Amino acid sequence: MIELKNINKIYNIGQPDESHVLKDITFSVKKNNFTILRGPSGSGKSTILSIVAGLIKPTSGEVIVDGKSIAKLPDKFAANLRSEKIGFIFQKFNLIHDLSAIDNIIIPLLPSKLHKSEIIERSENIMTELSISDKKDLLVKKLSGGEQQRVAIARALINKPKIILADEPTANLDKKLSLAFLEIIKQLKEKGLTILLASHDPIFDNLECIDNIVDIQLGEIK
Amino acid sequence: MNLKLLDFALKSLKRRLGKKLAVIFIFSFLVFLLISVFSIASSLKKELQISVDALPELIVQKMKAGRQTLIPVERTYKIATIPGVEKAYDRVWGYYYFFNANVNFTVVGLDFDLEAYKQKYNKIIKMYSGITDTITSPFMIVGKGVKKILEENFYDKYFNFIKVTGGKIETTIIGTFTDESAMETNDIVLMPVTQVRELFDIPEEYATDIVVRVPNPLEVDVVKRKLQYMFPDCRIVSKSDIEASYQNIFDYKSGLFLVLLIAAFIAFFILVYDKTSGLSLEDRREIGILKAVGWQVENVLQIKFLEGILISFFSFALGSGLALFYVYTLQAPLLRNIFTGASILKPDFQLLPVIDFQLFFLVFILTVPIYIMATIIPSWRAAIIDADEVMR
Repeated sequence: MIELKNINKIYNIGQPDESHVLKDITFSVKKNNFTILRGPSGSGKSTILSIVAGLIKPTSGEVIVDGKSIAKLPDKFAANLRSEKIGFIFQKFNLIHDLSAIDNIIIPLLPSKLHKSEIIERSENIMTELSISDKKDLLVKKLSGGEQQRVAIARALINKPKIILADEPTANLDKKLSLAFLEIIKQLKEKGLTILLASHDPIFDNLECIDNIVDIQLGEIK
Repeated sequence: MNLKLLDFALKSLKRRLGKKLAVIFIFSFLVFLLISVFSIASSLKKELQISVDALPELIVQKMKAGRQTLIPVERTYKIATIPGVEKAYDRVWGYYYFFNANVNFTVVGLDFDLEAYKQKYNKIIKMYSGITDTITSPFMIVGKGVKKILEENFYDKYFNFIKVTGGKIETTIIGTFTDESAMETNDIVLMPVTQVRELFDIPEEYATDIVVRVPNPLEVDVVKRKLQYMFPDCRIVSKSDIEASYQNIFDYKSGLFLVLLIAAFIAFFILVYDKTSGLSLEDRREIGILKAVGWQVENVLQIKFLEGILISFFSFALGSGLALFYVYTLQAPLLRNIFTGASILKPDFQLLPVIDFQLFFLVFILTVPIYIMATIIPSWRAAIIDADEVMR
């Protein structure tokens, strides 16, 4: 489902502050697998997720997502890939704080040709599944951290993606909320989604549902 | 048109209402100022054009020591014999200063049994012939502005004119008249010529000036030269001389407005520059989020375009509406005085409604597309950067 071959990412090439953040990264994630990218802060986990999502391009190497090479994909096609196949859960949730929960959730589908009523129905179903339907009209800034994360998950699921990318999803949550998040992730896996999650939270150690762990340090797989 | 994006753009405007209201205020104010100034100018130009159109081709004024003085009536007959002259009329008129209201009335003498030199006066004569044929005491027909001022000073039915030789003439107001051009007729008082002679002490054999009708425009200059030759003590004023003099005053006053408009434009372009020079961190972050969840650059630009359209169209409509209300309903207090002069020596007049679509189009082109571009360009700059970078 996801394949990275000899991925390198160098920022500010030729500049005094040049930094080689990813070095020959190669791994793959099979369909319906739950893979953890594990490593300390600054090891390059988020950069890998951004490359898989097509948010940034690798300096060299090949990225294949659902059979398509995306390393040199033009911006327009990368956006299509994200809107059709990928749901991204960001570390800081990246919600628009002065919009309501439901307005945040439906954002990915606004440019689509789907009718608004269908989009609303879809979002309400997801909110019910994630137990936040009573919060739908509240502004995101008025929600708790756990509720904000569920809104971010709902937004990631609204386009019915095949792949979920999650960047440090429990970094801003307490243990109880982190466990609740784990339950959601397990359910997503049961539904057949492929999950690539970057975290250095020990809560993800020794979980039965995890199929693969990729350890990264200083931009290299260990 | 994707209505979902339009809905999102509307919500986006509501979210930053304070900032957007500031933009709407500046934008509307500029449109308001431009349309107000140009509308006042158009309205006054129309007034002036009507006044100029009503002028005779030539006016003969006798001069003495550089000032206008009374002209012998007998010259009217001589002028009428000049080839090219259709008719010549001696006019008896003058300004009457009404000190209670600190205004001047233009008192015009008419012979109610003869044809007047102005077509519209003939209409008035005909309209009031039932009264003027029978009334024996002094009477007058007044412009609406005069009527208003007299009523304000409790002269509802009559007015006591003070003669230049002393004594008074109690004059009954038998009616009022109005015209398309309020500026021209508002301060006019029409009364029998004998009464005006008595009021201003003008002897029978003299008049204030003589107007000359020359139907062929090509003949006007020739007739003017002949008149100058025949009467070297006279000043011959042509219609085009008066028109040029009006235009000069008008252009000078318009120049004053230029300064005001330049200041308004500077404010607008500072606003535009501020918008084009960069987006706030919040705006950049939002564009990054939209791209990260699968929006394409054109989707981002679409909502920014819609935001720009909503703000600029609303501001344009608001500014235009307020300007029309200010100019034609409120009669442009303050601004109008710059054009017409703050003098109260002439009775007040109404600005004529003139809707100039070219003017609206010009103001639209000068503001709306510039603002929309100023909204889109920085968003486009942010949208073409990697979403990951924009969100950081």
